[in-house]
Amino acid sequence: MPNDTPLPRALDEALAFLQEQFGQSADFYTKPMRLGTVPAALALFTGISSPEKFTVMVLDLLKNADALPADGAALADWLLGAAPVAAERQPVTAQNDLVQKLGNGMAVLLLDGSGKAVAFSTQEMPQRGVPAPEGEGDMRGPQEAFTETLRVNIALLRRQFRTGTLTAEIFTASTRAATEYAVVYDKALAPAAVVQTLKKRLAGIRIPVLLDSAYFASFLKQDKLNLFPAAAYTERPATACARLCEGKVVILVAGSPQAMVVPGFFAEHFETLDDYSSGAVFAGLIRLLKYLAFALAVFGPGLYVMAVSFAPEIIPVQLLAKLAQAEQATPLPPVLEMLSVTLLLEIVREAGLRAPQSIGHTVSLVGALIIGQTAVDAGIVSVPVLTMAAAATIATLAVPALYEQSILFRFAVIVLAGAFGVPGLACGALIILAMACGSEPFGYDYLYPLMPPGKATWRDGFVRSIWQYLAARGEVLGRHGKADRG
Amino acid sequence: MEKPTGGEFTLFAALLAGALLNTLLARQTGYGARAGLLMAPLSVAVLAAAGWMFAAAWQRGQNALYRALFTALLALSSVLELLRLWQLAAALYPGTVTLTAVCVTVLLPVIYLRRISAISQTANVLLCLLLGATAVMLASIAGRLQVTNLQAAPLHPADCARALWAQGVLWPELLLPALWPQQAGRGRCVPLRLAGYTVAFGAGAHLVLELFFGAAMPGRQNPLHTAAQSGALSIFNRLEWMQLLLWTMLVSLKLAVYLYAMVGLCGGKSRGEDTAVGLDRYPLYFAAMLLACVLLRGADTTRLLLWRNAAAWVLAGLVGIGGGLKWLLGAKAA
Repeated sequence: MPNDTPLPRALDEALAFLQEQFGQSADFYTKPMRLGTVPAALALFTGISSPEKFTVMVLDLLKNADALPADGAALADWLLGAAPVAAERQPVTAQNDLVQKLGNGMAVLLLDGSGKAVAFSTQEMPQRGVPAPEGEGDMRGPQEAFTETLRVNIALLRRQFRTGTLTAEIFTASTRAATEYAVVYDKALAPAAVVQTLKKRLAGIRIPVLLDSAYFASFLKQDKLNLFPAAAYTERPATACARLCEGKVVILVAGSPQAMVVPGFFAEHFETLDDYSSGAVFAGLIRLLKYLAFALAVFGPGLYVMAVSFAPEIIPVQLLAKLAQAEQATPLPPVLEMLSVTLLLEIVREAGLRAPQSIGHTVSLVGALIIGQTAVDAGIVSVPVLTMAAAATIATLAVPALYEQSILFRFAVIVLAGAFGVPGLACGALIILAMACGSEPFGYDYLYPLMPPGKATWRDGFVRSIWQYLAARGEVLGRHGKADRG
Repeated sequence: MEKPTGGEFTLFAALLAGALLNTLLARQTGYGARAGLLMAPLSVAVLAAAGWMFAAAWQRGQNALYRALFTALLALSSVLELLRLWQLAAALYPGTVTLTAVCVTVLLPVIYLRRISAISQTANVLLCLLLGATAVMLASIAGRLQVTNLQAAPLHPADCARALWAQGVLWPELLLPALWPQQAGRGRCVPLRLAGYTVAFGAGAHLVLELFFGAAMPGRQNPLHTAAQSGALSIFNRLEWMQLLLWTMLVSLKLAVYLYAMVGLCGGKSRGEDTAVGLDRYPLYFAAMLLACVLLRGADTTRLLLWRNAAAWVLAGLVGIGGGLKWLLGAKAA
């Protein structure tokens, strides 16, 4: 295993070390050469680093240079210092550093008798272009999404956030794959305590593999029993920029097209870019509808079960007669019926999502037909139950950021309401409420600006006020003060 | 930098919600509206003075005995709240709500109400909901509130004494601010504000009930629910389920505050956090509450409430005397 052992001064020994490390890898490439009078060798991984770039950057320069230093150490110092070539500023002096640089796609020039290697940024990794966002539907605003390449994602942010205070620090996670991640923030807006705490916590995380920024989320949670996320996610650089303007921190992980925003608040999951492009009245109405949709998604089926099983007096008589007729025709009690339908809907959704695209639609169609038509015709489920379950499923999609929570909460509420009636529904509602209230991402109110009610609640909470008010006050983390609370 | 961190959360809303719940869960009205309104200032003064004296004396003279007594008082109060809610639920939904179900549904959310932030913010939300539910209920029965229902018979000293007796219940919420002088509430006069809001809410509820029931008010069981059952504002014919839903949540919140206080009184603390109760004792707490409820399920809760009130006054008196003596002896030594 490589360690911080210094690089050997002799070129042969350095090459032997590399041969031992990567010799069996087909994509590992070394090329011995002579630069002036100094024996040297180029090392890189083909596919993620380009020998052509190295040729253009270095060999052309060396060929045209009038006189090259005669020994390896002097040549290394010249390349690192006075030579007109864009080499990395720090020399590679340790074995683990050498391995890391190669893994990052750099070309490394080993020089005999030097004990130092010179790294060049000649990365040329396979990558896709900047795509359009698929998971966050917005009609207005920039239509570009993050991609899998960390540097490209940082560039996408910097292109939109053109201030000198934007800081993007890159670290290597303690994983088997040594994955890179970036912590991006505006140093003029983001509270220093949050940034420091976040960097410290991230540095302390030890996981075998890091494939997405969401892997960090669990480590950042204060209460592991709390199901609400401590962070928000976005695939849109524009949304990430908006969060940076609020003083929040964006975490990008190499290989993941999703940015994590911390701290994440409950109300953020109900906000979209379109909210701020549309008129304030319409945006406010849509936002209220989303809160209603979330409530319907979580409590709708449970409320139905409770009303039918325990408290029929809350249902108007005409509707009650129809419900009773429908329920009499089915063999299962309402709670089991609702659970079965909800479970089947989730299975259909999961199958449609995971199945190959070519048969995904077929799965959905067959599932919908079986559940919707056949089950009703056979008298296995009643139409009201199916209607309520379908309405809740559709309502879930109105707030996709809280999809997981909606599903889990819905099942819990159905079970509690079905088992205990009104107190069970109260129990479920209070657990959800207490989870939301008890979450304190980095010491901030998770429910800000919704609770406690204040001016901010109506400025950019349940509804959005006009831009003149938004612009005058702004929403910056760390400035949530008593003034906001009214 | 101003930021709403856990240290800035206040428990005042939670204490207030718990205090208001005492009126909501009352099985019968305690006094006539006019006598209640007349005696309210005196009741507020007495309760506020008791709360303030207890807080001052607790800071000076608390000891292991007082802490044990206070813990026992809170434990008894928790059991009583569970029993009161169960009796109410059983009256509304006969045969469907068991005591175990009430214990489970009330105590389960307490797991998530271990942090000050959770308790405080949840209390804010529940108070808002309570305000909304009260407004809905009032609107739904507005047509049946008749001024002519107000009793016009001359007031006797016995009526005033009854009102004073009913309003002068020393709820544990009035004593709890002594445990958290920093967190109980921003600003001063926490006992005064608590007593004021509680007595005013009770007197207001009695006024509405008298406008609704008239001379029949004193004999009504679960009067607030009976009033709600006649509401017909929306497509829903009855609103009692909504009230029971909200009141169940309020009981959970109240018990969470009591648990938070009991753990503090017993010297327990969560690992690494001073604003949260650890989960390690929760199973013991749950089992103890369930067992106590089962044992006391047949007891007369009205009588138990009287005993609890007497115990609260005795504890306040003991702590007050102890604190006063310490103050006197301390002043003398100085």
